[in-house]
Amino acid sequence: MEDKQLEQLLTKALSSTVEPSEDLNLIIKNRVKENKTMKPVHKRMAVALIAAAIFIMSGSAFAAWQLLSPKQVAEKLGDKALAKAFDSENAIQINESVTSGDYTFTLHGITSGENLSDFKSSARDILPDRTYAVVSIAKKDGTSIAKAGSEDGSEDYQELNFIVSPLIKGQKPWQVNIFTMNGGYSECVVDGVIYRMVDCDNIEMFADRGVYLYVGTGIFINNQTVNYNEETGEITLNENSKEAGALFDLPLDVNKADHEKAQKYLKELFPESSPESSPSDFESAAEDSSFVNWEDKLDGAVVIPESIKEVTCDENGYAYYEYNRDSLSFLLDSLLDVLESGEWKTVRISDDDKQIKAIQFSKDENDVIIGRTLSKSK
Amino acid sequence: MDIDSLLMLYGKDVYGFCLRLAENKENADDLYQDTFLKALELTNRIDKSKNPKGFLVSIAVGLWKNKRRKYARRKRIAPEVELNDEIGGSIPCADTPTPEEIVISRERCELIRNEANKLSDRLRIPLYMYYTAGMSVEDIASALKIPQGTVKSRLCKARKILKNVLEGYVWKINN
Repeated sequence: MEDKQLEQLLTKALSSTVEPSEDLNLIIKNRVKENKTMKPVHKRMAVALIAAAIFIMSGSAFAAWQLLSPKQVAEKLGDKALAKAFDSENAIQINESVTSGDYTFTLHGITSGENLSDFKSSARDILPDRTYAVVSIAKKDGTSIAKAGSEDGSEDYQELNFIVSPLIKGQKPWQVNIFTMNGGYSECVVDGVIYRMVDCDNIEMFADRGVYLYVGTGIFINNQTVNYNEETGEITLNENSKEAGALFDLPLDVNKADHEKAQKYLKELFPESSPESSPSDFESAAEDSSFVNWEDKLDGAVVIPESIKEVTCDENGYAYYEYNRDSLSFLLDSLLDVLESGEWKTVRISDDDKQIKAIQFSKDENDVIIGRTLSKSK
Repeated sequence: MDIDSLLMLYGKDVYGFCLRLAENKENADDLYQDTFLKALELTNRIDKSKNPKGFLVSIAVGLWKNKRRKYARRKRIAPEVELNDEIGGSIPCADTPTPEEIVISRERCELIRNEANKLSDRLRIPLYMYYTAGMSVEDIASALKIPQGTVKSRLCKARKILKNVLEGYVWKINN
C-alpha cells in the first residue's frame, strides 16, 4: 500500500465532521457566565506536582492537648461541608500519635463519600467519591514548627517537606499512593502545629485488604522510607530510613470493601499493554497535559547553579535527585527512555505564595542524567 | 479570547477529538464541556498566538485520563453513521462507486478506527491530534511537551501498525 493511499485512508477514517450541538455550546457559555459571577472558590492543588495552599494562623508555642479535631481543621480551611462530614457517623475518629525523629505525627480522623467537600477541583469534580484524612505534624519537643521569633514563621516552615499518603497492602507503595490516586491536600499551621487534610480516590473498596496511611518527612515514597514484602504484600517502615515517618493502620469498615471495584480500579491504574507501548510513570507524569500550562509559569525562572548535579542510582534501578530538601526519584530506565540528549524536561513544579520551583532532568551523550532546580519569585 | 470565539474557532476540532477519545457521545459531551471550562479556569485569557487549539486538546487529554476511570466504555453510535455517509460522498466521482466499493471503503475505515483505538495512548493520542484535531507536528509537540522528533516517530509507528492491519485486510479481500 502506498503511503499516499494510506494517508488518504487515515484522514478519511479518523477525521470527523461531527460538530458539537448548539445546546452543548450554550451550556458551556452559561457555565462560564455563572463562574464569573460566583465568588472565587478555594482551589485545590495539583496532584503529583505538589503545590500547597498554606496560611499561618499564629506562631505561639505548641501544646499537645490543644490539637484540633478533623472538624475544626476543615473549618479552619474554610470547608464547612467537610467539617460537617467529619462530624457525622460515617467519620472515623482515630487520634493516634507516633513520634519519629524530631516530630510527632498524629492521625486524627478519616471520612469517605461523594461530594463531601465545598472545594472545587478537577479531581473532585470528575471523581467526587473520595477519602479525606486529617493529620497533624508537631515538633517532638513541643516547640513551634515555625521558626521561633519570626513574625509568621513562614520562612522556616516552607523549607519543610512532608508527605502523607494512603498505601494499600499488596500494592507497591511507589506505584499506588497519593500521587497515583488523584490525591491532593490543603494545609494550615495553628499554634505551631501543621495540620494537613489530604484527599484521594475513595479507599474504602480496599478495606478488606489492609490500608495504611504513611506520614513522614520528605517528598517521595520509595524503598528508602518503607519496605514492601513481595510475598505477603505487607508494608512496613524502613528502620534505616533517614526520614522521620509513621505508618498507621486505617480501621476501615470491611463491609464497605468491594473486591471487584478494587480490581477494576487497579486494572485502570495499570492497564495491561505491551512493554514497549506502556508509558512509564515518568512519561505519564511528564505527558500529563493537565499540567501543560505550568510550563508558561516558568518563564523568567532561573537555574540555581548549585542545584545542577548528576542523579544517583540505587541497586533497585531508581535514580535520585535531591537539592535543598526537594527530592525526586524515578526508575532510571524510564527516565532514559524519555529524555533527549541535551534537552531539559520539567518533571515537577511546586508553587506556593512566594515562589515557583521546578525540577528538570536532561541526559548527555553518555546517558548520564543531570538534574537541576529552577526558581522564580512571585 | 472569549468563550464565544474559542467555541466558534476550535469547537469542532476539539469535539471531534473528544469523541475519538471518549468513544461515545455522552462522555464526549462531558469531556468537551469540562475541557473548555478547565481551560478558562487555568488561564483567564487564552492568547491567540500561543496555539489555543493545542492547549485545549492537551487539556482534553489530561481530563480524559482521569475521566476514563469514572465512565464505562460504550459502543460508538451516531458518529459512525455520519462518518460512513461522509466516506460515501468523498470517493472520487470520476466513476460512480459500486456498492461493493462503498462497503469495502466503509469496512476499511471502521477497521482503522477500531485498530487505532487499540493503540497505546502514546501512539493513539498524537494520531488523533494529527488526523482528528488537525494539528501540526509542531503543535502536537508543544501540547504534549515532547520533541517534534518523538511526535514524528510515534505517528510513523502508528501508521505502520495500521498499514499492516490494512494490508492484511486487503489480502483477505483479494483472496
